[in-house]
Amino acid sequence: MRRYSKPLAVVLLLGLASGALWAQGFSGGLRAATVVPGAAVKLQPGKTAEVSVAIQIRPNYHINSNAPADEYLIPTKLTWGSSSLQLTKTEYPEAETVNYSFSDKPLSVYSNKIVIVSHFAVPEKMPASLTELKGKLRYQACNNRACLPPKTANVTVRLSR
Amino acid sequence: MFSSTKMPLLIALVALLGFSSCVEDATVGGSTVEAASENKELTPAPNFTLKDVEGREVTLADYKGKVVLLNFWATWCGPCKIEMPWFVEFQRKYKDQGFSVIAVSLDDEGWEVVRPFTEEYELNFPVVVGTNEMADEFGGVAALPTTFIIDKEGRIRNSHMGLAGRGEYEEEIEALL
Repeated sequence: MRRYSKPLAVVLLLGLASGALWAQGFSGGLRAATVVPGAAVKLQPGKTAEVSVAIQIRPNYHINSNAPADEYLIPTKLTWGSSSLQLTKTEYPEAETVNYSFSDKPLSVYSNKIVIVSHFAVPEKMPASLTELKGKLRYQACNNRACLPPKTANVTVRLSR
Repeated sequence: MFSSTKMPLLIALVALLGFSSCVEDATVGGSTVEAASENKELTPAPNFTLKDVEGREVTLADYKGKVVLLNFWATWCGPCKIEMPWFVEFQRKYKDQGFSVIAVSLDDEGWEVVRPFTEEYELNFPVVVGTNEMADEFGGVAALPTTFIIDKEGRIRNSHMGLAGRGEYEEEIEALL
């Protein structure tokens, strides 16, 4: 039986270890967008609160806008978990319309840094347990040659009063 | 340390995992890995059995004796849509010479979205809906499209992550027919 040298084996194992992130079926791998932690949002009883979620998109990548131009594309969507705050509306930023070589029509996308703003109605009586809002950001990113799997990022916003 | 039977698989895995550096880089896509030219270094393509749009089983091992272009794709993947008409043409052009495309969709929604796509793009080759486990068998699929060119003996000869050139595919197919 043929044997291989120790240094070669070490190189192979290091290669395997470095690839561990990649070898995760189709759900793992690179994240092309990151939710940027923001300052705490101050709540005033009976008023409205504006919650801004900033998203940094990796250079050379885009994510689909909230209203992509193609029915097959996955829109960027921010959703919030239940809380005593009542969501009144979510405003997505204006999308860029970009021509890509892989599409016969312009696509509606976000790139660089974007901010999504959600508006909430704050109740007169706020429970003491209301210290943060939890949400999820669904997005799907591509560059001009390849697409990454759809991702769901957790969003946590601290609340103060 | 490693037996000779395991070593070629390890080498191939490391070669494929070389993609991981591309994944961490700002530009995924456009990567091509050509397997070693010596037969002893070639990796057997992992076998799978999945159902096509008509519910018929598609087993990769049944394609032994044919050159196979195995394409991982999804309906939401723009670059994949560029390649699909090429693959339709390849299937038409090379089918009688012992060639087949097999397209593996990685859409979470499965046939609900894949079926209309196959009809719209008039795909003339087997299309199946894949799983994460199956993608793992192929070393993980970090980005789409990812395409493997498999020779008549069922061994992976070339891998492409991201949109590749039509001519590049044709050269690789014709070299193996």
